[in-house]
Amino acid sequence: MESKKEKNIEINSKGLSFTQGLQELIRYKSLISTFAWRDYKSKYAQTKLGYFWAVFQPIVSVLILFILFKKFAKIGPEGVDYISYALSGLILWNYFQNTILQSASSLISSQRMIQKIYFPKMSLPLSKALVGLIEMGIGLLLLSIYLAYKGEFSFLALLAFPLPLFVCGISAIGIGLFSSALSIRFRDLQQVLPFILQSVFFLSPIAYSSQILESSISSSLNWVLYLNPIYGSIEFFRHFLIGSDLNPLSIVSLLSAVLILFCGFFFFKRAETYMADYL
Amino acid sequence: MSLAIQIENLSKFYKLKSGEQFAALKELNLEIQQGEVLGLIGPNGAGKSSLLKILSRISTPSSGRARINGKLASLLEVGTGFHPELSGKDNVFLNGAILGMKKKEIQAKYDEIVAFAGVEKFMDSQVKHYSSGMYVRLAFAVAAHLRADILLIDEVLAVGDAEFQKKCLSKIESESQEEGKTLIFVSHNMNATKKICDRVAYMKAGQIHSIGKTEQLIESYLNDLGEVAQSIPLSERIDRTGNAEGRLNKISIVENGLLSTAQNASIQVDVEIDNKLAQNQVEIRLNLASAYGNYLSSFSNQMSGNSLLTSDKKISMICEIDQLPLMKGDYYLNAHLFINGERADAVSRAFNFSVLEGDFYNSGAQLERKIPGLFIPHKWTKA
Repeated sequence: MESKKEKNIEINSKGLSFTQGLQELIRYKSLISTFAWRDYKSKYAQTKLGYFWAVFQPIVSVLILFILFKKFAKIGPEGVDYISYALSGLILWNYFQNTILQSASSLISSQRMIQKIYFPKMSLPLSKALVGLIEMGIGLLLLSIYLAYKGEFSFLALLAFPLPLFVCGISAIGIGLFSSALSIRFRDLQQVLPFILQSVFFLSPIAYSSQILESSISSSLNWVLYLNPIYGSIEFFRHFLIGSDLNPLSIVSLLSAVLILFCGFFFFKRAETYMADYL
Repeated sequence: MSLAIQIENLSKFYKLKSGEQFAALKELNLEIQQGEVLGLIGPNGAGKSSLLKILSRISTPSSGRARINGKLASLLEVGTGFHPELSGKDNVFLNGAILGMKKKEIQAKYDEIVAFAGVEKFMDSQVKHYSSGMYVRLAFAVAAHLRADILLIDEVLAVGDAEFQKKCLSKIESESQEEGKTLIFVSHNMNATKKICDRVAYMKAGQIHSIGKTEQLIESYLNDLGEVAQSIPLSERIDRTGNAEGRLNKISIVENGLLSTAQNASIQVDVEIDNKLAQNQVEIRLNLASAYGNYLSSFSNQMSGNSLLTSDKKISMICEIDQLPLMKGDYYLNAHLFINGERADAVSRAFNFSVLEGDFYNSGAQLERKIPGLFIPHKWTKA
C-alpha cells in the first residue's frame, strides 16, 4: 500500500520540489531501465549485425589513432603499448560522448510522448547512460582479450574500473541532463554539441599522453585541464591498468564531475516546468 | 463526500510567437467529488485540453493550484509511446511502464489486455506491421487497464471501428461504476457524454461557464454553438483550417429556406478560389451531423460523380437531394473545400439547419427520435 502522502499531491506553478522529484524518479525507476531496454532492443536485437558493429567500431577507431598519432605524428606515449593505451582512453571517451549526444536529443525525439503522457522526464536522458554500458562492456572485453593475449591482463584494473566509470558516468549524465533541457529552447545545440565534444577530445589524453598536453601550458595552470572530467577519469583508469603515474590533480576531475551532475540535475528540474509547452 | 480534485484560481498563460500572452485558463475554480463522472464540454480553445494537461501534470500552471486526492491516470491520446520496431508484447510492457504501471502489474494483466484488444495472434510481430485499427486497439487496451482512483479521458473514443468504440465506452462505463472511482471525460460526442456523465462542466474562454445537470448543459452548449453559426456569417468566421487557397463564403438553402422530411432539398454553396492556376479541380464536401455531433453522411460533388474542373474564381454549386431522408430535428454541416486534392478551407458547423416533419414512407406512420437519424428507403416482403 502506497502511503497517502505519495498519492495526494498539490499542483502549482513551481512544480515538484527537489525531494519530491527524487522520490518520483525512484518510484519510476523501472521506467529508466525500460527505456534503456527499448533502445537496446531496437538497436541490437533488430539488426542482424548489431553486435558486430559494436565490436568493429572500437577496433577501427584504435587502428585509426594508431596510424595517425603513433605512426605519422609520432606523438604516442613512450614505453607503453599503444593499442591498450588508446583503447583504454577510447572506452571511456566513447561512453562519455555517446551518453551526452543521445541524452541531448532524447527529449526532442520523444516530444509527442512528453506532451501527451505524464512521466518523470528525467528518465529519458538518464536511460541513455544505461544503454551506453553495453558498448562499454564490449570495449572492456576487447581490451581484456588483447591484454590476456599479451600476457598483461590485470584483474586489479577491472576491479578498480568503477572509479573511472563513476567520474565519467556522472559527468556525462550531468552534461546530458543539462543539454537535453537546454536544447528544448535552443535547438541549435544539437548542431553545436558535436563540435564542442570534438574539442574536448583533443584536450583529453586519449590518443596522446597527458604529458604532451600538460607540458604545453604553465604547470601552475595544469588544474584547468583536469576540470575536464574525462581527463581525470582516463588518468585513473590508466593508473590501474598500465601503472602510469597518477597526477594528484585527478581529484579535480572527480570534484568537477560531482559539480556537473548537480548543476545538470538542478537545471533540468527548473526547465521541467516549461518543457511540455516549448516542445 | 470527499473531494477528488480541488482547483483554485488556476491560470495558464502561453507566450505566442508574436510576444503576446494568451490565457488558456483564467482563474479557474472547480471541485470534483470522489466517485463522480464529470464531462467537460465546450468549443475548441475553451481550455479543456489545457486543464487536463495540468491535472495530469504534463504541463505546469502559471498560477493557482490544484489538489489531487488519489492516484490519477490520464488517457489523453492513444498509442503515444509505442515503438514501431518492437513487438506487440514488448510494446505492452513499454507502454505500461510509461503510463506508470509496475512490471508485475502488467504481467498480471497481460492476458486480459491482449484479449481486450483482440490481437492475440500478432503479439510477437512488430507493431509497424499492424493495421492502424489493431494498433489503436492494443494501445487503448493497455491504457484501459491502468489502476487509478481518478481517470482523465480526452477524446480517445474517437478511435477504432464502431464496434471497438462501443467496447471502449462500456469499459469506461463499468470503470465509472466501480466504487469511489472518479472520471473526467472530454468529448465532442454529446451522446457519449450524455450516456456516462453525472454532471457536466461547460467551459468557455478558459473558465467554467456553468456546471450542472448533463442534459441541460449539453442543450445550452448546443444552442450556443448554433448561435455562433447563425450570428456570424460564414464568410466572417475565423475558425478555419486549410491552406487558404480558397474560401467557403456562403451556404444557404435554395428557395424558401425551409427543409422538410421527404421534400426535395437544394443547398447552395458559394466558394472563391485564390490562386494563380488557370484551372482548378474543385471539390466541395459537406459532412452532415446531427446537432448532437453524430456523423451521418457526406455530400460531395466529387464523390457523387459531378467533379468540377473550372477556370472560374467564383463558383456557386447547388447540391440537390431528392426526398430528404432526414428525420425531424436539428443538424449541422461541416464544410470542406478541396482544391486540386488539397484541403484549402474547412469550417466546422458551417451551417445549422432544422428539418420539419414529413411522411417519408408515405405510410402516415410517425417516427420521432430525440437524436434524429436517417430514413432509408426499404420494403418488406413475405419470404
